[in-house]
Amino acid sequence: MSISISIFLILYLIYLLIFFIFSLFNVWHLQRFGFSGFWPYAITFGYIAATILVLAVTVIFLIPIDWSTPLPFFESLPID
Amino acid sequence: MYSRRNFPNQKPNEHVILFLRRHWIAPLKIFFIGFILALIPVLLYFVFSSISALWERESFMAMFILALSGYYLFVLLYTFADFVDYYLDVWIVTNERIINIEQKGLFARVISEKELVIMQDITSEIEGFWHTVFNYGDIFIQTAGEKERFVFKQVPRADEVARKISNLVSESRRLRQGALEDWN
Repeated sequence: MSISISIFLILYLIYLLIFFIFSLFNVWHLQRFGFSGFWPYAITFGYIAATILVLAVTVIFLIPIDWSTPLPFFESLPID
Repeated sequence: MYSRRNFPNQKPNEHVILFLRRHWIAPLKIFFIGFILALIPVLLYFVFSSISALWERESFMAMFILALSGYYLFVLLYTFADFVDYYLDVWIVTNERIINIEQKGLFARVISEKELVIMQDITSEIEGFWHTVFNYGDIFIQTAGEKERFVFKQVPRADEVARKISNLVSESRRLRQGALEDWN
């Protein structure tokens, strides 16, 4: 039995879900309780743009990864 | 979103005289801290880039990319949440009352208001090098109650604002007194 590195991808996706929930909370708070002006829209747009950039770069670097590669710990164990 | 001219629970004939937030130094600090946090992985890369054996393992690369992505998303969220907390803290002085709206974290919001006529003591405090250079400080407003009721934190031109509020309080009391005399 071996565990592949895809487990980290699953943990990362769970982390992403939590990130999106908290992001929505913040955007909703700003929209619901904030006073209208240039900066809330500008900062929100900048935040969304930066998030998309981070996710895009992450996807680009993750595409070539073989997710079936076993974890380093399990590589060294003999399989009987 | 609310408007600076039309805010919730606004009374008839009530209009905004002062709309205050913390000095622009506050969001600048937030973004500066975010920038420093974003630089940390770059510095660590220069420290660990010489260990080539690690970078050749695909499993390490995958974990590293996911960890780095998670870290930057955290920094973004932390900075954004801090900005939202700053932006939602406002102090509104109208011709009738003072409204203090304070966001405490993500799930707590405190709104308090008092009429101008019951304000007893208004004190401004500009203390420290940066406060003096950029002319911002705190204003403490004491009402007729026992505890300090309002604190305007890091507002621009604190001394001018305090003087303006003091004048508004005097004017409010004069108008109230005049109305009572007309009634009698």
